[in-house]
Amino acid sequence: MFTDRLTLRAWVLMLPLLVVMLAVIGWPLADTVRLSFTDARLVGTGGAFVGVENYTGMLGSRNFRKALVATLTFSVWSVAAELCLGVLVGLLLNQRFYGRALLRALMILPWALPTVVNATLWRLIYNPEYGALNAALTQLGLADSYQSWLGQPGTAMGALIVADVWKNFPLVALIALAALQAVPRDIQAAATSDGANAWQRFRHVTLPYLVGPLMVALVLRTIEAFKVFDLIWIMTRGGPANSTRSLSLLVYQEAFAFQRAGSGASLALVITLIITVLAGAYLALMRRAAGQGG
Amino acid sequence: MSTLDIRGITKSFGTTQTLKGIDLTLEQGEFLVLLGASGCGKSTLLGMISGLGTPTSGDIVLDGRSLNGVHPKDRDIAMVFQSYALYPNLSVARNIGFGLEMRGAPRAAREAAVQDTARVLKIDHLLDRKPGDLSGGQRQRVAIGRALVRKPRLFLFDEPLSNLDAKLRMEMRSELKRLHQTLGVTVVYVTHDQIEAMTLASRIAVMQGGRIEQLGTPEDIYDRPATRFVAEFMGAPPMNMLPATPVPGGLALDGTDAVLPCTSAAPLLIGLRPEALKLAPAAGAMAVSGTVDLVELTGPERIVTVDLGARTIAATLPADQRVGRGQPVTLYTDPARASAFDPDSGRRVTLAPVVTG
Ligand SMILES: Nc1ncnc2c1ncn2[C@@H]1O[C@H](COP(=O)(O)OP(=O)(O)OP(=O)(O)O)[C@@H](O)[C@H]1O
Ligand SMILES: [Mg+2]
Repeated sequence: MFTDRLTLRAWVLMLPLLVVMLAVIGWPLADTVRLSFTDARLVGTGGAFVGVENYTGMLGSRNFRKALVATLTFSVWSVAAELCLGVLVGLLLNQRFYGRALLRALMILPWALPTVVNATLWRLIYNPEYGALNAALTQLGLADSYQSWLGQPGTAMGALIVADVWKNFPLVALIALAALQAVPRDIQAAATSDGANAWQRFRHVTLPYLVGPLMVALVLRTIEAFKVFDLIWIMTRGGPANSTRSLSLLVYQEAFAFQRAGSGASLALVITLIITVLAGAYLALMRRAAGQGG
Repeated sequence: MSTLDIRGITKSFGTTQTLKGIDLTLEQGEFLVLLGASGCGKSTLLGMISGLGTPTSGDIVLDGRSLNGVHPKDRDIAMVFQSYALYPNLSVARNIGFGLEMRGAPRAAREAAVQDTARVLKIDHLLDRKPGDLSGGQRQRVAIGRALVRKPRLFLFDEPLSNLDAKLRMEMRSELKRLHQTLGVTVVYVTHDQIEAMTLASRIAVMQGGRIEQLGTPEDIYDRPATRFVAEFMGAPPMNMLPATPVPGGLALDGTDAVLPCTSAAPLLIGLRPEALKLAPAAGAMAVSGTVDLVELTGPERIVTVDLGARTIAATLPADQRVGRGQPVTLYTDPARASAFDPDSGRRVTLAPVVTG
């Protein structure tokens, strides 16, 4: 099977890593699958086999459906906003102007901050008593009274999305900027001389160079957003009235707060499945991009 | 009728002046080649004409209309880039028709124009392909087609053949010449390849350091170079430059017995083209003697470097004239084919022939 020695050596060298990976990922995964078919509690022994009851119960529950909708709402809006804002900022930073280098460096800052810091920061901004947002809005005359942005079901999700966009659009902007710098100047010049206006140049010349990298950003960001936990945990803990409880939060509550390891495991596996599909889309895109290049 | 008038164009990037005052006039149907070494400002000048760059001062007039402040798309000028600059995501047909599409030409007219152009350039079988699936020469044709289809008043080419291999470059060169002759379009063409310049141009502008050294027909440039720079830039191997001192009866070439019959009071540099030097004596010819130092066969020719003692001189001889290294030779040349330059200014000096009895 190993026709050449190099292949054999590669496998031998990879072996320790593969073993460790099997031990730390493979075994827990297998155990999670086993758990998901039992009514095991977090503490205490065993748990009896209950078939697919965990799955049917969980998938049919109101909590699951509500969490799925919350997760989708969060993912779709934040990723869409991040892509739009990221491309616009990328286009801006691709222009020649004084102070561009400084701005490029500054822009990375929100993305470089840990989510915990970002989430805490936004909690302060949204604070109903002394938050900067309330102060700014009332002082500008845009609002009459202070709002509890994270405490009202109508605004909590929006507030979370804004915080997520703020943190993650710089990544998209950087990806867009890198792609924009790969657009040959001659082609831009040719399009200008061919009579294309700014929008037509963007549409026909620039955008084709952006699509590939942006698709990758889209999938990566979607996977990330779908898994969101820390941001929400710190800012709202899934409230108010569970309106911002994402699937990850639901797993956590199920398995650890309510100590229902069995149904928690089944829910975790469902999320894993969804993310695997997204990751598959990502790989397919990468393969297509690699096929096109060169 | 398209005429292009370039008046006193300068261009500065920061504190460095790249173009130092360019004046040029171009008639309808001319093929003007801007020739010069890398970095002399050829592309910069082309950019000013196309409108992709703005001159620091000066004016460009096309058919009596000043192009100052006119947007590139409104100039009716098409440019072909060295990198081809094709739109990678569009088919060949759409690449060619892009200019018409952007200008809102009706679909049927556009498609007909693209077909016609593609047929002229022999790429009509490639119209559905993407640029990535074409060879270098085919891409070049598409780039030319994209310019051609718009029927602009003026074509600009920036080293269009420099990415092609030697054989293809020659083919495309002939093809460009044929296109120019059949379509009668007006062209400004940038290159640093002197053969390309000689073969294509109706006139050549030799540029150096942001200035035009000489503007003239290929014959003028080659046979009567206006400056020492032009003389040494053109030709391979370049023109031989020999210092000469006035003596009774003419100018003696330093370190040789040869005397150029002419009247000159000052020392001059005498330029002799390698191919004007021959092994066969002729009436009235001037002779220099030395020993053969190096022989290089190029195929049709034998380039012989001859050591004259103080300096060397290159001669291009027919390949069938066999000479060997170390062999003493005498080279003969017609004094009328010599050029003379002022050693200080480098300008050409017209030699007054002596009336000999
Ligand atoms: N945008 C710019 N900013 C600063 N300097 C520039 C710019 N564009 C050109 N230059 C300078 O102007 C000079 C002439 O450049 P240009 O591209 O016109 O040369 P060229 O004759 O076309 O050379 P080549 O044969 O290598 O293409 C160069 O020294 C170049 O560095
Ligand atoms: Mg150039």
